[in-house]
Amino acid sequence: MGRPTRVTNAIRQLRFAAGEMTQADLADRVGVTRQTIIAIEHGRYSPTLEMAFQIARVFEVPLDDAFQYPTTEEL
Amino acid sequence: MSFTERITWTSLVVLPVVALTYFTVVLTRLADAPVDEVSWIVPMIWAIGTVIVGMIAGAIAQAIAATIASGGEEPDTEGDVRDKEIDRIGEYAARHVTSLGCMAVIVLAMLRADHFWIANGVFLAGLVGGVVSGIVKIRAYRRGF
Amino acid sequence: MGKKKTPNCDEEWASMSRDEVYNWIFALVSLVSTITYLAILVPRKIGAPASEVSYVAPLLWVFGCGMVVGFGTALAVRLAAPKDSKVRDERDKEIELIGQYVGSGFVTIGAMAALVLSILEVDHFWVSNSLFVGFLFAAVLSSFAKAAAYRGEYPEI
Repeated sequence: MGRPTRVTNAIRQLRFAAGEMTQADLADRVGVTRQTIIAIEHGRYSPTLEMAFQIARVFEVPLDDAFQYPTTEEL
Repeated sequence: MSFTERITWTSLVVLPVVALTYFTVVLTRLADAPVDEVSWIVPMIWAIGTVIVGMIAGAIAQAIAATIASGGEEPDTEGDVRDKEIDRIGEYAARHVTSLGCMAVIVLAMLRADHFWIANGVFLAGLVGGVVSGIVKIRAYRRGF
Repeated sequence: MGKKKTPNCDEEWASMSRDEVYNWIFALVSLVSTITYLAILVPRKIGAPASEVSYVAPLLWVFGCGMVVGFGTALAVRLAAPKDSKVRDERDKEIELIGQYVGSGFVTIGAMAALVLSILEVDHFWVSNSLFVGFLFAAVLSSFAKAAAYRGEYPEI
């Protein structure tokens, strides 16, 4: 089947912008394993809606700033 | 109700009814006769046949009901993302029942137990597993997951 | 402050959660078990009637060794692994669900075969082995599906 999702994210950039937050640190704040954050950043895992909101809240940005979905033209 | 949920409800009717009938018949026979003289094969075939026929008939009836309820739209028999997720949850919940039952059956077969115990062991494990997964699925449908 | 930060290089791509490591162990053990068991069983069966094949000892040995090696390695991994704050999250549970679902097909086939065969009262050899081989195949299939899912390739279901 391949990639599970068309959702992309800007988490790595957001981490660097937030004082070079480590993946482990972000994982602790969201309540997941470090490997799950890695998988999300590498596009290997699509987080649940709740997790996506929690990640966006950590960086205090709207959901759309953390996660992107192609427009209907791009789909 | 999604079509898959309707099918789950159907199985929760068919499986317990067949299980209760079949085991009542066979256990009363077992009370009167030693294991190797109990005639269980004919009831077993009836039971399996009833499950198959019951599920098919139920599925057809549900498809008709669903078409009427949605005003002429054909029901989605495959199930969407949520239906498939719930199916996985149901299977997962029943995993202990089915695998323990099957392991017990392997042991019985290795010990060369009478086929009566083996066949009924598998059958019981399958029925109980089916009912457990059905209940878990309905709860997921009705209460969320 | 002042903590040494892990460099974000491509090494991290291979970083595995504890459950993923356990899954690799399980995948290896089940694959080796399946191959070993079939390699012992099939030659013994060829040319011999089912009632005379001695399969119980190989079955128990394969099962026993698999359990010991599997759990032993998992324990060693657990003791040697660095302490992470969270070891098992919803992603691990989700992937376990997928693995179990993928494997359940083979278990169902094995169980149905066993039921039909015991109704027909064929030799116990066939009943035991349809279930055991069904379990072995299910173990291999589910662990491989999980390994792929951890890397981002999810099965079509």
